[in-house]
Amino acid sequence: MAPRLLRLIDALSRRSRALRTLRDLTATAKQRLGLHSNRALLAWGWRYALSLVRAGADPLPGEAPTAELATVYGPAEPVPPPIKLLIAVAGERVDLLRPLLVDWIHRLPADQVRLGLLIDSARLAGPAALELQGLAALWRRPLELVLLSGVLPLRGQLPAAAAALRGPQQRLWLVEGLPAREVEGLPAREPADLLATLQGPAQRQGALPGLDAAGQALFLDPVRLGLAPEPPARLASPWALAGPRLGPWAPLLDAGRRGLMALGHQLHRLGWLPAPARLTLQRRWQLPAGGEWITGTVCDPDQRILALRDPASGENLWPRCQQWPLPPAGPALLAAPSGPLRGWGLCTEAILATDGLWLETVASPPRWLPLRGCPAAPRRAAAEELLGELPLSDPRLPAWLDGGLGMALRRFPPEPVSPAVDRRQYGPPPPAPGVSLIIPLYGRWDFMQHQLALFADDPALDGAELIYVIDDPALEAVIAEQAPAWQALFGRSFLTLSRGCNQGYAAANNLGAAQARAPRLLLLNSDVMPAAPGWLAPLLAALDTPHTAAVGARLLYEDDTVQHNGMVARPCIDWGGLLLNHHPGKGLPERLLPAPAVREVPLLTGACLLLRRADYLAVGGLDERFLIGDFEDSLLCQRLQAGGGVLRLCEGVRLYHLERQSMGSAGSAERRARFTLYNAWLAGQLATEPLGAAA
Amino acid sequence: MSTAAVKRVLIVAHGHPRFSKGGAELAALQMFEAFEREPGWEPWLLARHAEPGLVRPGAMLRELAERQLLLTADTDPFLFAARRLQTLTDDVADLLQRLQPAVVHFHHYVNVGIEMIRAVRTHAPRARIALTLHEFLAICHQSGQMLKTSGELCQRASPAECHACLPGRPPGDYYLRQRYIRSFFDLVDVFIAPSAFLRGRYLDWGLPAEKVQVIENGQPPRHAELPPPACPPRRFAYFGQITPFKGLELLSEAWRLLPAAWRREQGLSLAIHGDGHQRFGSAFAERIERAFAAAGEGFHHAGAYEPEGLAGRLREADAVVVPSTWWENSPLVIQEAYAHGRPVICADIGGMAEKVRDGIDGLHFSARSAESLAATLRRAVDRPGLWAQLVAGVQPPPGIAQTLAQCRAAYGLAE
Repeated sequence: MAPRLLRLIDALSRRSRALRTLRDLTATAKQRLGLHSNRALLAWGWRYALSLVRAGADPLPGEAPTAELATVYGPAEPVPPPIKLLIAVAGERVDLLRPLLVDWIHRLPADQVRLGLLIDSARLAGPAALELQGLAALWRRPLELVLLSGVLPLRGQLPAAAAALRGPQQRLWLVEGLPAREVEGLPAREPADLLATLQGPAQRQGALPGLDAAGQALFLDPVRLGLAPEPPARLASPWALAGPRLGPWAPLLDAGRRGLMALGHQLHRLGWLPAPARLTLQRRWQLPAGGEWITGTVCDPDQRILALRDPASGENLWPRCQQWPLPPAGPALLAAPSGPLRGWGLCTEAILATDGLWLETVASPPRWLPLRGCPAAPRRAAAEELLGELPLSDPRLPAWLDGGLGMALRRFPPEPVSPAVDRRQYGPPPPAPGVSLIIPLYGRWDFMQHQLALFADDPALDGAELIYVIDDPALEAVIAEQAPAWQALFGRSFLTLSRGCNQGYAAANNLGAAQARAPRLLLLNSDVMPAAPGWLAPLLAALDTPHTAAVGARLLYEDDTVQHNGMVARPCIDWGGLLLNHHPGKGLPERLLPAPAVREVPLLTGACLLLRRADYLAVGGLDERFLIGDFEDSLLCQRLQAGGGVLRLCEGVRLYHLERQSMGSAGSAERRARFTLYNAWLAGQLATEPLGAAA
Repeated sequence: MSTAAVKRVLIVAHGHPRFSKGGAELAALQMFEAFEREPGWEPWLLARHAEPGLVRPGAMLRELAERQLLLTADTDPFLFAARRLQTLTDDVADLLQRLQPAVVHFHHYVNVGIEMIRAVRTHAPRARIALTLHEFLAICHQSGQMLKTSGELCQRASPAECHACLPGRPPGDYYLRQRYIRSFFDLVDVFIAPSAFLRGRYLDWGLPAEKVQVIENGQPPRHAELPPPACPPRRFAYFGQITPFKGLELLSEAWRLLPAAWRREQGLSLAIHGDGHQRFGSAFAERIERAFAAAGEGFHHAGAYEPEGLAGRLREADAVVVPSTWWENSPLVIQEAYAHGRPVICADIGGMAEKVRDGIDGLHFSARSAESLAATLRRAVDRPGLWAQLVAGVQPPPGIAQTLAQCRAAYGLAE
């Protein structure tokens, strides 16, 4: 075997430039080994895999599987327990995770054993994180999630993997994804016996050379147990023989596949098979502020790209490109041989005077990448495209955004709006208003009519200025037509403002605030209706108490359940702990809340928020950098708090909030969720940046 | 009344009758309404719903009527595991902490999430947890009927047999399923089974005998007073949905086996009240239509009825037939028949055989045998004095008030 392997490696290394894909490797290996069928090749690969296992030596020098992610959910232990038991789940049977974990949870005490899940599939990471977080909350014990990346953990590599996964002073057990009763080598069925077995002397399945006394591992062959990952569809054809008609041979061929994978890794690691650089150019956009934005994907683990050259200027643009990791498209084991895929982006000050770029790489002739068109870049389209690559649930999402994707998106400023404002005053303006109500309108004009009907006989509105900001050109005509009649009928004067476009929630409020004449502002959504007259006075009184920066009210759904009673920032497990705005008690009947009082709260919603105009302007108003609209209110609250103010909630003041639901299709709901993801990340970034930082 | 003196009972159901009219949903609402009339108790209903238009972003609860909450939730059909565990660990946990109920009475865990039992244990640690078992769902993945896909009656569940019955999953999955469900059932203080038969099946499955009590799902009082049935009986009737497990083919075959001349001479009729066979595929619907057409004179399909119309239809019946080919737990139709003084002829298995006492308030026939059913129908008509004796033997079923009193005793609270 050994001389033959060396001959093969020698041959492959000389032909390495031709080897771009696993398919090339397969073809070359077949040719060099004198094999005529895939079946023979797989058998060869299998023998190779067996030799790796038998040799016991580290088959991939320097390549230990690394824990890409290791997170503990649930309460922290005062002292780490002496044993860590990780259940290795190689497949993607999400449905089995919960019963499996519960079975082990019931058998092993938390103070003795830290339980966890060891997965090698990135696609399992999101669902697994959610499961562990929920189970940790239900059982009130810590549960760990380890995502192994790099290479497939063959038996020979387990010692290295174990060393990386084991905490200090901990014994580590790795078990295959089975309930405790069915794991071979664990005779014990009762929890106490099981614990004694784990604490006792080493009892192992198979030979695991290289483990020290503390790092025992129990490992069962996932192939034999039928839990190995399915080959991904896009590799199906070269391995077509390993289909169901092979019956009992399928596991052997699967092992053969693994052998070939390992061979590929081996060649890379020995440096005999440099990974080819791959770079694609996907999109070119014209930036609103001038210049352009070019994006694409790149895979260049061995840094073979030398230059991305503009033929017009001769400049190498590659050093100026930003890069960010992209989620792997398939199971991690396939991503490894050629390296991870990354996104790249280039932002120029002026539009490039060329219709293509030269890609220069080591030992290859330069390649021409044509650049076609340069449409104006709407920020939303760019965001849709760049964020569209992301899964909707993955604990690594913040890392990907931090890694450059988020910063790339921040390059796109909000769409510029027309400075011309259409300003219409209906009825005489109040001479010296005490408070200005700023109410943006979008989608529905009838809310304005409902509000005016309720404001008509409410003396609280007597000294107030009403400003409706029409943020939807489709509403302008109907409002202009109805407004005089509403003014006459309801006896309330109001001002409408419009820029003739949809500029977004934040910009609409900022426009209203800029035109407001009162020293205090009440930001109000158009679908918020006071429960009874007299609601404004207590809010104004509360704003006058010492140190108060802003005041909110209790908002209810139409069935008297809570919509808003103060807000907190809560980590979102689907999104790796990014903070989302959470409304405690949302959906509960109001009578389950404590007796109404004026309370200090961490955050308030912008649906009904009273504050001083000077404070609002001092912090720059609502931040216009979010996509569509999210988090402007919580960020405003944080900025007010940074200035020393506190937020108060008047629970005795009740308004109804008919919080509109998204009526879009599933596709647009997903897009909206990705926008919220970016906004959540952006809110975290902006909260730590000094005010007035460049947009 | 001060809140300290009031005991809160939270009744959990997998649906609200205003959206889905199942037996368990109705039982949960009836229990809620009965508790409303009990001094010293404040009932809350938590019913799961699946109306997409009622879902609000970020809010998993809403209120349908006073203290009747709707919960947005869904479970997988195998483990009854909540698809979104965070609803239970966040929203329901919050509700439980605020309510601090003295009792949480589950009328089902399907669709709600079986993990809610643990959430109750954690967030309302003083609450007594009761669970009404409405069928064999925890034991049997085959619609909880313990009726094998081959059509045979099933006696017990085991990973190997369940795998053989439903081969899509390896036996290990069924082992995991049982362990998983049992891990939550271990937290329940008292199980309530509407029949001793159902209780027996759950004891075989491993529930401790001292925890499972037999309490009938009593019904609210009925107002209709019907004239007594004719003796011997002339008018037989079936009430209920037409499903593959209800034995309608068997019943029409038995009717066909009775000599036509004798049926005519005695002036006999058999009315089928109910429908729903279209929902089980066209093959089954056609079989039913053929069987009905072949049954012969005196047999007719009277169609569907509303629950309120049942008494009116019972007026036109002297005997109620329950020919089911599966076990049945505690069929509501038997309670209805007895409430109106009608004896019942049923198969000699499971919950129906327990509720109908052979020779006292009804007659048993050998389950799944058309010949035995035909002979039993004939005996009911021909044996002098038999039917009058059975009519005299019928006792009114327990009402909801009795059920409530028994449940309250079962909760084991110091009252």
